[in-house]
Order: sequence, then structure tokens, then C-alpha cells
Amino acid sequence: MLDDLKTVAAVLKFFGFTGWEPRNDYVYRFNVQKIAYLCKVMGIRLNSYDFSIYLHGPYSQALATDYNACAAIVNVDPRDQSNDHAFSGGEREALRHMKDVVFSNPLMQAHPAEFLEALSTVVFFIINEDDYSHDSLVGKVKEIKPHLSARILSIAVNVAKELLISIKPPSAALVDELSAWERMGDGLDKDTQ
Amino acid sequence: MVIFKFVKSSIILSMGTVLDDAIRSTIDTARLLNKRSFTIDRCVILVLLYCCSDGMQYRELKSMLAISDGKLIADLTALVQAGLVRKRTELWDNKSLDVYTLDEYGIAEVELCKKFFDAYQKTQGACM
Repeated sequence: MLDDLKTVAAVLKFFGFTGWEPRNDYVYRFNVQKIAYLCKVMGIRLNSYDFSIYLHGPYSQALATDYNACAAIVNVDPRDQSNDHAFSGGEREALRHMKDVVFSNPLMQAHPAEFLEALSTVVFFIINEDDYSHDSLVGKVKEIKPHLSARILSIAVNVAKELLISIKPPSAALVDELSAWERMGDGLDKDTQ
Repeated sequence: MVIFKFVKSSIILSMGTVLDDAIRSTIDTARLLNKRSFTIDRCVILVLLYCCSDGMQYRELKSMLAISDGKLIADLTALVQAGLVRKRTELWDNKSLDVYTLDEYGIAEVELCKKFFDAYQKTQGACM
């Protein structure tokens, strides 16, 4: 279990997400939970952490137990630049993709907690229910997290699709829908020529 | 025949003892429960906070319990005043946010509630 907690700490260092202070302990840990979930979905080995959606989700009680027992591991000091964790090639690639898609998003500066909450919840529904419909995803998340704004949710849905495209190819129904739109686009191109 | 009667009365006696123990335990545990925590909404709040050791935001509790602000605030205030729940304010994306966590006394209270329901369940098993 502690190996997985060390992996989480290494991931936080990789993303430069190291702003723990005693006064923001709750929010920091909340964000750690969401980042750990996204990492697990993207293929980082965090086998001992199972995440559930209903309570505070995506949330892993095992991860909470671990960081409560060994807070010093995840409360990363921003001055600590060392990162000797051995990520595999695939893991490093997944982390770079996450950095480009998630951590470079302006919402990560302005509203990191709400953005991570919205994004991880959307990802949970895409992964578990194979649901790619924008309206349906927004509706499902809004139902369990009514406090999330429509703007943040809408951006989160788009970011989630971009994030997952490398690991979860779209369903046959979505491919058909995209092809239909493409064909319509071809028709429009010919009409306008 | 004598042996049969002896076995039957032993079974009745042993079932009676199990039931007696379970009922006694249910009553004893119920007496120990904090009356301020033992309403259904307050019990649910305590259980939710028990399951989520990091604590929960006011708005999360509100959306899960689906009760009015007035009722939720009254329940949370009572639990805070009883020393079962701790409230703190954190900065959340530059906004203030109320977070509730279970105090040590609150954890003990949830475990006592669990004991009560275990005893109650045994009573049901013994009555069947």
C-alpha cells in the first residue's frame, strides 16, 4: 500500500502539484484524490486503491487511510525537486499527456479543485458507463454534484474526451455518429464548391 | 421420550438466553447512545462522515441528504455542540468553504450506534 502512496507522491512532483499547507489540508487532499484517480485511469499502477463515486467521489478510502497514516509522504514540499520514482515508458507518456491536457488548462490555475472534481467525475462516468454524450454526462454529474457550474462541467467533458482518447477508443455508436457528421460535412463542401 | 423432552427444553432455554442477551444488549446500548445524535438525519450525517475520513463539505451533505438548509444547519450545529463533529473553514478556489469532520467522540458514537444495530439484529434473529 505504501508503494502506491509513494507513486502518488511522485506523480504530484511530476505535475509540480506541491502546495500543501496546514491551512489547506482538506482541499489539498481532495485534489490528491482526484489526481490519483485520473492517474489510475490513465494506467499508472495504483492497484491497492479502488475508487467509488457516490461518497465524495471519485474517492478511495484506502488512499485516505494511507495518507492519514503517512502524511509526510504526500505533503510534498514545493522546494523538493527530486523525483527518483521509476515510471515505465508507458506511464511517463501517460503522465506527459495528462500534463498537456489537464494541467495546462487555464482552469487548473483559476479553479483547480472544482475543475479536478468535475473532470474526475466525468471520466468516471465515461469509463464505467461508456457514455460519451455531452448532455448526458453533464446531466449525470449535475445530479450528484449540483454545485458544479455548467461552464466548468462543459469544459471538463471536452477535456475528459481528449484525455481518454489515447486509452479508450470511442464506442462504435460514436464512431458511426462521427462518420455521419463527416459525410454531411463532405456534402456541404461539395454544395459550397 | 424423556430424552426428547430434555433436548426440546434445552433448545427453548438456550434460545431464550440468546434472546434475553440480545434484548438486554439492545436496551443497554440504546441507553448509552447520545440522544442528540440519535435522529435519523443526524445518524446518517455521522455515518457519512465516518465513511469519509477526510470530512465532507456542507454542500455535499446537502445534496446527499436532500434536506433543507435550515434542517441541515440545525442538525450540524447540534452535532458540533455535542462535540461529535468538528467544523472548519477552508479556502476552496479562493472561496470560503465549510468542511465537517468526525471528532474522536463522534467516531465512538458511530461505533456505539453500530453496536446497537448489531444487538437489534441479533434480537431479530433470536425471535425467528
